[in-house]
Amino acid sequence: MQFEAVSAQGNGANHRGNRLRWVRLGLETAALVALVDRALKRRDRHQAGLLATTTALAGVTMLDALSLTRPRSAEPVRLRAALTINRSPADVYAFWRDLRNLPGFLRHVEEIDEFDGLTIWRARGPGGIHLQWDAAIVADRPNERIAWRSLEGAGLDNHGSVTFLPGPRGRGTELRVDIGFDPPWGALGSAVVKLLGDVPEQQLLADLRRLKQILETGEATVSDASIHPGLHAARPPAPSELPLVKGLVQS
Amino acid sequence: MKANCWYGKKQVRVEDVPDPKILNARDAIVRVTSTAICGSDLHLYNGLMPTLEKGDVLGHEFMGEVVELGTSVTNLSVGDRVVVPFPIACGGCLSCDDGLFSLCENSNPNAWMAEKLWGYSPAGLFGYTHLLGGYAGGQAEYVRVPYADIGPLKVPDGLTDEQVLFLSDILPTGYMGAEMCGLTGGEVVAVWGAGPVGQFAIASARLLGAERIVAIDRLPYRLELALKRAGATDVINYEETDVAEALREITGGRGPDACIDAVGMEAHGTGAMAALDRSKQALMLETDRPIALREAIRCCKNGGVVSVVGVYGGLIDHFPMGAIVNRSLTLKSGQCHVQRYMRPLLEHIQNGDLDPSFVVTHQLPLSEAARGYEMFLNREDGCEKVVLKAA
Repeated sequence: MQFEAVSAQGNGANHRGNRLRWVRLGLETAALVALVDRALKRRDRHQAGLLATTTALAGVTMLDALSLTRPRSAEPVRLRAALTINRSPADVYAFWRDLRNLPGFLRHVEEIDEFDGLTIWRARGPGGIHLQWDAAIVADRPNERIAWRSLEGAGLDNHGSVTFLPGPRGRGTELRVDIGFDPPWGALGSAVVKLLGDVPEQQLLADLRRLKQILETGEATVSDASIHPGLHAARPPAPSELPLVKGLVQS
Repeated sequence: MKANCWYGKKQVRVEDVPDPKILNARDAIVRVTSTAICGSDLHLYNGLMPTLEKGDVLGHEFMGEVVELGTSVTNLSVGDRVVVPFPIACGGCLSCDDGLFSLCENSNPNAWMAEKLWGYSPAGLFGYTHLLGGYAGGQAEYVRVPYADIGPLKVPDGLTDEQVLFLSDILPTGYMGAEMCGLTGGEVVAVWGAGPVGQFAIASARLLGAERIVAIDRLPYRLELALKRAGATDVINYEETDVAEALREITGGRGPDACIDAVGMEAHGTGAMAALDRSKQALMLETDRPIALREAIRCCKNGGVVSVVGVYGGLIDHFPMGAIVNRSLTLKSGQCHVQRYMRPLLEHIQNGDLDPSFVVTHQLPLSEAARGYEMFLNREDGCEKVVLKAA
């Protein structure tokens, strides 16, 4: 049992709520289609009334569609992931605590600077969205735990912790990461959601796997197909694709 | 370079693809001399394993000469003659530390895909779907070999390619099938499937001290090979003889101490259940046809071991769990941890205990890979094992 992705409870509730809203949107759309059809066919005094009802329903449907496709500020996102690394807690802690190492495995993080316990994070999402925030390290127990919290006025409200526990029978380190986000409303919120990708916990686990590869094998491992972001045949990359590869190889 | 690429059900073709490059510091590039078509390649050929892409380079049994090394590989030199194990393993994770190389925790960059299907991910493999890594395979002129400081085994010049090539997969796989039986000497072992893995399971059971070894298949030429070359003491043609009854007879009514399934997900068989499995697989209601496995479980003696080295990909129906629980059977399985077995098996080959080349019935140039797949699938011309010559 090396890897464990724990779905945050809040996230599960989000999914259920979203599913209900999608059902509602589907029903509204079906009703809307039926109403438009009837309103267009009708040539009598009821047509005006039907058209008014249709317009009202169209408005509600549009609002529901909008609320489904845009993130809501009220729902914080919580991500958790765990895996076991075959290095001592001291080694894993030391690697993580040197924050300059983090962009090597956190795919979206470009740069982290640290001054007197204050950290400045720069990240880039798909489509080249730039994000920057300041965070303070609020707990730092060597070889055990690091916790951080973004500062007031950060573009991206977030907090999190990483814990390092000795593995079974003293072998390796059980690494657990717990991150909370408060995506703000609007463009930045969308950017955050995009930044996290479709399956945020899977993405976090993929990041931690790269950390594990770096610590256990020396660098992040690539296959012929995995150097490409999308589907691609498992065959050696063409010379024109090699720059893409270099971006991933940590040498 | 030329490589054998998958393009769909029963469609493979050799075409030009880019030469492989060193992508990680622990990579090697191997110029392939010999590569083989594995029974498990037929599952890909028949379109039964998910997550292949058009153009994927197939092949996971190969050997050749090291022509380029990444900066971190210090135990190999350019010019070394090597056999490469089919599971890609880093040597540094807890699974590799425990000798469970086919469960390497670092070699599958598409681990999330495997987790969706199986819960956790095993190692990445050469030329065997994207869910197992998306690595280009060895039915090619050149192959990139990751973690080259851990996997490839240097082989002496005195042995032919055909004698050492199968250290890459089927010889260790057959050996592990026999080893999982926990033999201490004097047992009766029944082996379903007299394909190359079955032949090596038989030969290994003999090495490990089994007294009677029964080969079960439907093809007379394969049963003959098992009897004359692998070391089987008895054979059963299941199309002519009731297997359970024959095994009861051979074992004095007890059943074999251990049963090895060297068939896997595309078992043939007779009777209504076999026909039903075939239809369900065609309709994608069941991914694998477990006809041999069910029979192995049913025939095994009380308290015996069922060892599964045939490949299964997904889900099976009518699994006889009741027999396992009520008769105290032990079910063991796994993709072979090849790296664990290569050295001791090479010693057996060097000592003359074993000459794996007896399974080879056909040699073709790499350019005729498609013909090789067709022959192997249709068991044409007494086909047991096809070796492709790439150089």
